[in-house]
Amino acid sequence: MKSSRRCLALPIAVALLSALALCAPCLGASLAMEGMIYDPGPLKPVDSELTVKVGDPAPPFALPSLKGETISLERYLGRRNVILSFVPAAWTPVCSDQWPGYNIAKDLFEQYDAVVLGITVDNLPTLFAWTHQMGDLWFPVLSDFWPHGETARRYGVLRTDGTAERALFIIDKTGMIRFILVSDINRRPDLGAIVEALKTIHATGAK
Amino acid sequence: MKIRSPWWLVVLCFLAVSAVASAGKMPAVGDRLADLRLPTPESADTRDYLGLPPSDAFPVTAIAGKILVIEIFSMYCPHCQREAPAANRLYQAIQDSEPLRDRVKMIGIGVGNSTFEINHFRKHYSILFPLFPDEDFTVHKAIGEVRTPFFIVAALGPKDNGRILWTGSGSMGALETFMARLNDLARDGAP
Repeated sequence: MKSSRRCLALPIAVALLSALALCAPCLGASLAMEGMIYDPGPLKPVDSELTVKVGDPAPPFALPSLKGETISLERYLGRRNVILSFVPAAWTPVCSDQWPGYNIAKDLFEQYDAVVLGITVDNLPTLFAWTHQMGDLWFPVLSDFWPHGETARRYGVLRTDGTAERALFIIDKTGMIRFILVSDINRRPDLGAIVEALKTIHATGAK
Repeated sequence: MKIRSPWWLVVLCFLAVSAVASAGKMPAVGDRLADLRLPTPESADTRDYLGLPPSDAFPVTAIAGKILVIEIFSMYCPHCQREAPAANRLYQAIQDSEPLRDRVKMIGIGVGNSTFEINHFRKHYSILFPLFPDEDFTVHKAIGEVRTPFFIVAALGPKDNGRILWTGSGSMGALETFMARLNDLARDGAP
């Protein structure tokens, strides 16, 4: 009995301290979204298992975009490197401060022949209202709403609560996955890591 | 029944209280700036502007001048992106002002931003004043996790040692108003 109590003590302590450590930076800090963000509190950092790995062919998809098009991965084959940016859900912390950063990094991405495709499991009306608060995003925003989270599931980044991981996949012009970063959902990935990966892919991939 | 407080619970409570106590409060006029330490700029020109000797890190109160303007921003914040040209104009107006040039210094701190990210922000908006990363939110926590952008004007020097003179959340407002404020504060703070 005593040992089982001790066994419980450590995970409880770790969980409480992790929550304390995470609670500050997980909140969206920008005034742009003040009063509009639903804060679920600190979440389990990763809650899914990847079904793909670097070197695999990227699972195909065709998803509706905010501009009314259907965007498929296939359209970029032989033309562009593709950065898939899955974020958990609209109107949540961190996500609301991630794509606006990519909005001023167009030149960095284009330097390496790359486009960004932003994907969430939200429906189009929700994505429309949410991204409207970010200003005009230059990259396509895709809805993986129905069948719910099907594309996220194919890549192995659909969480058990139906949201997606905060995950980045870079797919080269041949359709091969060259970089995967599934971040702690409570943290924003560093732009520098993405650009560094793009630089390598651009230097070694098909032109 | 023997009641004994488990050691881990005591330690946990202590750590939890420490964590809460270490979170700073929002800057208010009359307070002293929290002990904000920033990495010393590599650029000799930037160190010269701030009056800093070469070192690894420095407290913001070590910056040479009478008044310090701090913009708390993030590369990822749309309002900060929109505010960037206005912040640049403020810096330029300070540099163009004979009475303020040597008395007022201006810096930006990018909360949650890496060095790569603040450098990209600097390049994208041609930011003229020094920017510093706060990648692990240390500064952000110390100043009560203010929303961005947020402006702090503080008095420098051994007597004032970071006494906060003005704070503003959101847009810095009209340039003329901000400059008039700086002129008043610089005059009030003059020896």
